[in-house]
Formats: sequence, C-alpha cells, structure tokens
Amino acid sequence: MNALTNRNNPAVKFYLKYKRIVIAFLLIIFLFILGEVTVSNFLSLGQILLTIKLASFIALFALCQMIVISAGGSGLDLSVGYTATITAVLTASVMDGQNSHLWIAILIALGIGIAVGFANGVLTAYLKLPPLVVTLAMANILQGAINVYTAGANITGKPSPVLRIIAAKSIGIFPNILFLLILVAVIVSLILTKTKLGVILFGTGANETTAYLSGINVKLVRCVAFIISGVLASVIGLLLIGNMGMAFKDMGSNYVMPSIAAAVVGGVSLMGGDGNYVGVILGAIFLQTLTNLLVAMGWGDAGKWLGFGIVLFVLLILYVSNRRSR
Amino acid sequence: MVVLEAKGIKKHFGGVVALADANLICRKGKITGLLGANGSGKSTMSKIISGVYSADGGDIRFKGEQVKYRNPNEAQKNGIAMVFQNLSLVPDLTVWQNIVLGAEEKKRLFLNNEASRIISRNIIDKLLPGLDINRMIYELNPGEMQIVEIAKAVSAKPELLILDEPTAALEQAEVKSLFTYMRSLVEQGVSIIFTSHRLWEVMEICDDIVVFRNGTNAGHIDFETEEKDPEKLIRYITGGIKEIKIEKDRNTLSGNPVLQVHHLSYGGILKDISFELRKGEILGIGGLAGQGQHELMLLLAGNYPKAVCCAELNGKPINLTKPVNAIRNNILLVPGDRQLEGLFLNHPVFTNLIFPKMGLKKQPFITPRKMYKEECERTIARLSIKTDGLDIPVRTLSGGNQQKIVVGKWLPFDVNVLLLADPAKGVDIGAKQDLYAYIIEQVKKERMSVILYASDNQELIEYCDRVLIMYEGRIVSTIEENDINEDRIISASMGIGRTEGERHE
Repeated sequence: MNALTNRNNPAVKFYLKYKRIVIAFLLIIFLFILGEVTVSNFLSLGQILLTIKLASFIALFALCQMIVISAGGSGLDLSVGYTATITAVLTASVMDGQNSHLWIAILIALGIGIAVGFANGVLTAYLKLPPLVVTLAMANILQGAINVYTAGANITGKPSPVLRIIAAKSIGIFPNILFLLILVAVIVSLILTKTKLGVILFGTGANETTAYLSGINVKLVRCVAFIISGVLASVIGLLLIGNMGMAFKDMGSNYVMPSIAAAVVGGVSLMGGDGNYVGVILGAIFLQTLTNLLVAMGWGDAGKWLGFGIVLFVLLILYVSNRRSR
Repeated sequence: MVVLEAKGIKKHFGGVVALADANLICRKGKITGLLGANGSGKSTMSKIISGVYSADGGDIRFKGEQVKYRNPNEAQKNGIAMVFQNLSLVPDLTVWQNIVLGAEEKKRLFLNNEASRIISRNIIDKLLPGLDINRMIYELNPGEMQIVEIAKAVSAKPELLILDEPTAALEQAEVKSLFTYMRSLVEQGVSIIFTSHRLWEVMEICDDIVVFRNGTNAGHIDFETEEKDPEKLIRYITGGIKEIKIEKDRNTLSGNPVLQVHHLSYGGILKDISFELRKGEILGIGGLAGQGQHELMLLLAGNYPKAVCCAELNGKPINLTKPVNAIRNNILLVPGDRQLEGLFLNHPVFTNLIFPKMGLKKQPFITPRKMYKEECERTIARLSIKTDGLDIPVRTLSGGNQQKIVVGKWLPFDVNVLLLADPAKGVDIGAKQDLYAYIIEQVKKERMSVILYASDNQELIEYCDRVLIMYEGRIVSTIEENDINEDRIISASMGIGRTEGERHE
C-alpha cells in the first residue's frame, strides 16, 4: 500500500505521468480478453496485426486532430476525411497506376492540403470563427466538390505501385503501414518533446494569454496547426488510395468521427495543451478492436457507431470529473 | 430611527480576514457613506448585508428583526437592494426589459409590457431623462449602463438601497442627476448606503460617514453635528500612521532615462500618459484599484496592438505593438494575474521556465535540454523556489512559489525594464521578501530599471524612488522620493491630491 502511494516509486511515477496511455492500453487488453471469451479465435497474433493495420488510418487521421486540438481555442478538424477523399479522387487519374507521375500527385496533395488548412486556419484563428462550424462547412464544401467531379465523369486511374506497397502490402506477416505508423510516431514524439515546436504548440493550447505575453504569435500557431492538419490529411488521402487500390467518393469521410474519438481515448485534452501520440495510436487500436468485437458479435455497422458514441461519452465524463476534482 | 444595524460582523476568505469586527448603522431616510482604502472590507460589508456572502459571526438587524439572508433575492424581497460594481445586465435586452427582469408586470397569463414600460420610464425619467428605454443595453455607454443598473434596483422599491461605487463609471452631469434622485428617494423614506472613493462626492451627498480600515471601524463622522473635514477623513482611512523612513541605500536619480513614454493613450482606459524611467530606478505606480494600472503595464509589454504609444528605449524609438517586440528589447512583464497570464498550470516547472525563450529567433530548433536544466536549477536556487524537481506541474506549487516562477522566467534575459504588476498579491510574506530582495539586488548591482505597480501602498513606500499616482487612466500626481508616504499617496489617489499637492509645492 505504502509503495503504491509513494510518489517516488518509479512505477507510480510512470503511471502518474502516462495515466491516460496506461488506461488506453488496459482497455485494449480488456477488449481482447472479452473477445476471446465471447468469440473464439479473437486473441491471436494475426488478429492483433490485422487490427493494428485497420487502426493505422484512424491513428493517422487522429494525428491531425491531436495537433489541432492541442493548439487550443476549441480546435477540431472535421474536414480531414474529405480532404483525403478529394486528394485521392483528383490524383487517381494523374497517377494512373504508374510511379512516374507520383511526384505530381504529391504536389497536388500538398497544394490541396495547404489550401484547405490555410482556409480553416485563417477563418478560425484570425477571423475567430468556431473551428467546429468552420471545418464542418469546409467538409461540406469538399464533399460538394467531390460530388460534382464524380458526377461528371467516372473516377478512373489507379494508385502508383509505390503507394500500393506502402499502404497495402506486407513484409511477411507485418503490414508495411505498421512500419510507417511507427516511423511517424517516433518523428512526431521527437518533434513534440525535443523541439521548440512542441513547447510552443502545447503552451499555446494550455494558456493563450501566457503564451502571447511570452512573445508567441498565438494566431499564427493555430493557423499553422490547421495547415499541418490539412497537409497530413491530404497525404493520408494518397495512402488511402494506395490501400484501397482505387478512389471513390466516400472513402475518407468515415474516418472523421473515429479520429476524434481516438484522440480523446488516447488522452488528448479537448481543452488543449496536452497530448501524446503514442496514446492516440493506442486509442485508435482500442476503437478498432471494439469495432472488430462488435462485428464479430454480429452487431454490424450500427453496433460500431453505437460503441464509439458510448465510449466517447464515458471517457469524456471520466476526464471531466477528474479535472473538476483537482 | 435606525433601519439597519450590523454588529460585530466577521468574515474571512481562506486565511485572509476581510472583516474582523465591523459595525454599521443606517438611519431611515439618511444616506450613510462607507469609506476605506482598497481591501478595508467595505465591499464585503455591503455584500453581507445584501445576502451575497454570509457572515462568519456577528448579527444584522433590519427594521428591528434579526435577519440572515441566504441570497440577494431573499434580501430584495425583504427590502434590501444592492447595485453591484460589476454590471449584471443582459446585453441583448432593452433598457426597460432589464429594469423589470424577473419582476415583469403580468395580465393573467401574459406579460403586460405596457405597464412594465411605464414603470421603467418613470424611474429613468428621474435618473437620466434623455435615455430611451427601448434601446438595447449593448448600445449604451458604461455610465448609462450603471444608471440602468440603479433603476433596476430601485424598481424593486427597496427600503434600503446599497450603492457600491456607483459613480465610478459616470460623467459629472450624470453624477449630479443621480445625487438629485438619491435625495428624492431619501425624502420618500428610503435609506441608502453609498460607497465611493471620491471624497468630495461622499462629503456632498452623505449625512454621515463610516470609515473602515483593515476590516474594522476606524472612525465615524456625523455631518449633522460635525464639520466636513477631508483631512480628518484621510486620517481615518490611513490610520494616521507616521511612516517609518526606510533608508534606501541607493544612488538614485543620477541615472539617464532608460524608457521614455510620450502621450500614451488606449481606448478610454489610459489617457495621455507621459513619464520617464531612469536607469537603476524603481518607479512606483499607485492609486486606487482599477484606475488603469494593470492596463498600463500590459500596454508597455506590448499587449495592446491598437494603443497609441510613442516610446523610446535608451533614446531609440521602439514599437510596442506586440509582446515579442517588448521582449526583444528586454522590456519584461510579470503580469498581475499569474495563473491566467503568467503560467501554464498543468505544465511542468521546466517548460514554464524556458517558455519565453521559444519566441526568440536565436532559439535553436532542438531544445538544448541539458543546458536549460542547469539554467533552471540556477533560477530555482537564486529565487529559493521550493519545488520537488523540474518535472512537477506548476499548479502543485504554493502561490508564492508560482509567482517566483513567473519572475524566474525572465532571469536568463538581460533585463532593460522589468514591469511588475502587483507581484506580491496573494503571495506569502516569505516569498514576498525573497522576490523583493532579488529585485533590490538587481537594481543595485546591475542597475536594472523597474516599474512597480503595487496595490499595497506599503510596498510603494518601502521600495520606490518615485511614485506616479493614477486616477481614471491618467497620471494625476508624481511623488518624489522624499515625499513618499501613506498620506500623500492616499490623498493623491482619491483625486484631491492634485490641488493639495500644488498647494504644498
């Protein structure tokens, strides 16, 4: 008892520092055990790897959310899935199954990402419109553009083979996207903890007045957060078409809500100023495991959304009451 | 006839005693003035009478009966209405809707708006005849809002009306018409408690005056029997302590000007402020609370891009439109609200201490953690900050240590001007001494220049070489080193210092 309450105990220290990550990890283990008990063959290496592969896109989209949410100002980006879709749709015919035109596709992706992110950033940070409404409107505009484009002509073309390899193929039993996710996680974690960008991002989110009086251009930081989110979402669109082998008009939109849920489960404070990408990845894996479990139990798509909603509510209530008790 | 009698009232907030043992008596049809310096307990007393706070001890008799209200509504139903300093109007409703809010006239199931309008118009016509009752609150200026607030309180037909600094937002003419109205209320038998920092107002309108100091009664003057003597009132407010002369062992006044400010204005809050700060000087900013001192400090730190400010640092013009400009010129602010303006409460001590470096261009992309850690350790040792390492969240530290972190953020900087906005507020005595010891030493050794705003006059007396007194956004008086004492500061603060000061000089 004494050892567990002692703040200097390394295990207790670790728990206090990474409380939400530990909680997310324990939740995943709980789901796998629950799945093994209720549905046979749930807990196996193949199943775990498949779950992670499916979760990786949620985790990537959740990185966009984490950056925008961390910057504070009730940031949130509902347009990420649609940005990804429009990039995939527009680049499909450009790439046309060839590697030679991949660089043009990447330029298009960057262009779309910067444009969407810049618009979101200016409208929210400089014109002080609520991010929820701005990015929702942006999502609708993008979906409208996609609909117009796909109504005129069928989407032709295939992703370049390089994208297929990164997003769809495996080395042995390990899906390649898993390695990409690990690489992204390492880079993001390094940037957020070891460079001034992380300090500025979290500081701006934690207390904008303090950050401003300390010489930080708060509006610029928030605008840049949205631009990063837009560019990431657009690049994820390339991976998404690589994963699916073709582009279609609803390919990214289903990831928006899960990406926010993953950020919340992974311990990103919706108030801003706090977040850890490893936790967010665990949050994404948790949600995917939950989906798998519900599907295996025969609940289908309805069960998945029901499960997401309930998990979000429960965790938000827990985190809010935790904050109140301080 | 006594309407209200409050006896032996005690109230504390946490460890701070707001009222130790305070008494107040109001007579029917009379105006009782309530005076005192900042933090003397007069607002607390008003709020206890009107049911906002409940007293820790003592009893209140209203119309002969012992009362203890649980909330302002209960007090209002019994005939005690209070007009608050911070306005409680609904901006998107009209004047008359606000006046009758919560007590609308009804005709069976429906509202009788016509009757409500008539009631409102009758009151407003007496208070401020030009005001259209159909205007929205957000269209009004602060003075008009204050009048509507008073009208709202009066519409409940109180027997005792408490006005807590109602004139602070009013123009001279509005004050006159308010006073006329107050007299007409008094003739109808209403009793009024009136607080104001402007001595001449209190002397003009009140029938008697009660002075509070440090949460107890310091004096009482009945104008029906005694003459109106401002000197006597000031003595009651300050306690008439002969100040202890503190040896300021510094060769001051010899330094060249470091910062010169010419004709600085901001909105209606700061008006035409000019002064110069010399090298190695601690320049005090004093005055009543809320006369623009906090805004002046924030402005000098670059917080108000739209302000009109012509300033020179060491003879070169500087542009104070962004905090980062001030920081690059080493004009560094310790803001007044450390939790809201100075800290990231949930972040560790380490990030809080290194954060101001992040906005600088020369800051390397990858944080040199080891170097910064050593720097933080030095800061912690230098200011004797009590913390369990660099990784614990700042919110777990005591108020005094939190304040030291806010000051400590600037230690690695080569300070030109240090702006201190009430640094000792809510800070324990030990931390306060540590902070001032550090500042005095920097001033002595490094010839650092400091602008110090303190709500506690004692700090101004003890540490400052000159004191500027602010009143309604202007600098109304400059007190030179040999003249800095409680009486001079108080009388200048209350707006009568100017004439008096001129007489002395």
